[in-house]
Amino acid sequence: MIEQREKERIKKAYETSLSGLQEDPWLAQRVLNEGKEKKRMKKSISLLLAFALTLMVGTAAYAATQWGIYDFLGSMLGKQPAGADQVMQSNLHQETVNGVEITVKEAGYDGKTLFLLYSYRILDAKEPIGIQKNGAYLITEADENLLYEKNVGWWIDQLWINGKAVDMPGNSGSSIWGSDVPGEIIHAEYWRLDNEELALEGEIEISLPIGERQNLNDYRKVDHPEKYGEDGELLPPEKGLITFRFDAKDTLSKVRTFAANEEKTMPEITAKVTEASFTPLMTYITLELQGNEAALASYKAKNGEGYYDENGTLLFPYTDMDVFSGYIDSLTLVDRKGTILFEEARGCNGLSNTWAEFIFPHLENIPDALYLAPAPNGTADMNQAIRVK
Amino acid sequence: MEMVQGPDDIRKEALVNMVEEYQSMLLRMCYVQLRDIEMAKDAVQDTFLKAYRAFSSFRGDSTEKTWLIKIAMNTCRTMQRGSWLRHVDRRITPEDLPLASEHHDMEDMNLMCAVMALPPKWREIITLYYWQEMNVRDIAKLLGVAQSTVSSRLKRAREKLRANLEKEAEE
Repeated sequence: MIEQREKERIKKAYETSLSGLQEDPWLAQRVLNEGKEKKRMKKSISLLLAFALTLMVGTAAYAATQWGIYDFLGSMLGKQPAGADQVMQSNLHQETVNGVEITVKEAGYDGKTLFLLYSYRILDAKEPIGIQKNGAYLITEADENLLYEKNVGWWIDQLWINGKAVDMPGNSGSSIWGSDVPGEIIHAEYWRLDNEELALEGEIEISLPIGERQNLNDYRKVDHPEKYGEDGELLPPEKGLITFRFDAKDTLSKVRTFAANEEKTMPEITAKVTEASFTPLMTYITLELQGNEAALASYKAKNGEGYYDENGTLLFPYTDMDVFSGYIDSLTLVDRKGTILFEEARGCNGLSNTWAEFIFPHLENIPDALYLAPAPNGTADMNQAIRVK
Repeated sequence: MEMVQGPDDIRKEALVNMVEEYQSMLLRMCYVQLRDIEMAKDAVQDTFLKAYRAFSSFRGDSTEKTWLIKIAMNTCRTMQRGSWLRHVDRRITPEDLPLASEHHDMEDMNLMCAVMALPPKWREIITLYYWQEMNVRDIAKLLGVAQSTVSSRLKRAREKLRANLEKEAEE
């Protein structure tokens, strides 16, 4: 039968052409480690980079009145603070690859996060790229494919800092836009280096895999061990990278950290702020959480055991997070009087059964007392507030 | 392997056995869906983690394999909506496929690329129907859709792949 032949044909394709996928011999152990509900996967490396390099000839870093990163990540960064000029730099690198001009327009480091703004400009394009809406150019999948047709763009999920590979840290993100400039696609990214236990200081070299796309098969460890260092990480490839110098200065010294560590016990949860960091660009708040067993039992009694599919099969049982996620998500930053400090900031940037993180824009003047409180109708409920500072 | 429920050590052993038995299958499945090796690895790890956490509540009303496939498919769908999707190479060529340890057939690779060029929902059906040899009824149950939906997607996916399949049949 034709269908039987089809089945055999397709099955064979799956079996042979995917047989090169390498299993991870340590997968079970990693799952078990993560199953202990650690806050995040942390690498054992702890790297503080602090040495002087000669600035690349032709690189210019100058203060600008309006940093583009705030145009593209404004929902997270809020308004540009006065101190942005101290940590942001512009015009860091430009080169042309396969008819695409790649420009590293801006970079900044606030002691935790590396911010990057770079662009691709397809030189033979005659029109702007993207769907214009409300003054912005929204990039579609088809627009992104224009770069793939030039064989240019991000080709591996990591970057290199002073020659050392850095995997994409948790809670990192990006946004992508077109512009009025014909052929231009702009990327705004934020890399949470603190989640990889990486801190930067002084002159550093950053390499992004955004040049000519490389074939990942040429970097398989089993076939090319010489491309990997003693630590098992991929060494900076000879091709496909865009490298530039950046001065992280002594920004770390500008980060102010507090820890209220005051437990707030409520019916569904006990929470405390274990770290509140105020950087030249952002505010980061970390909480330790503990659910209430009785509250979880009550929740299950009311809502069932967990998440079921359409056939009634239980997929995931409810956990503490299901009980208190609404409360955590509602929290916003307020002063001792309950005044909301950032009306439009969402705040919650991550949540688990034992941990939550909040990020807010830069606080120009840090009040003597700060709280996270729910403010459902624009008025903070200080009875449920958790002390930040 | 029989699903067990019990103390932590038994649970851990069950996980180890499950990883040993199904890692390869899930990795291929997730790679076909996500078209990115690193994302596929993340999806597989996430799948086993979810399964490990949900062990005690698994009711055994589907096979262990089906249960894992379901979790994996849901995980892939979630990742496909993620903000880093732009890193996924949306056009897989034979050169992009992970090199087979034995001699690879170019037509197999071309066919695989054709499968991976299908829309995600069609790819799911092709994977489950042809590679996992599930029937329409079981696929519908796993994906939570009507059998007619499965049949329709299967028909359209086969039509798309027809050019590749007919070329093989002629030879």
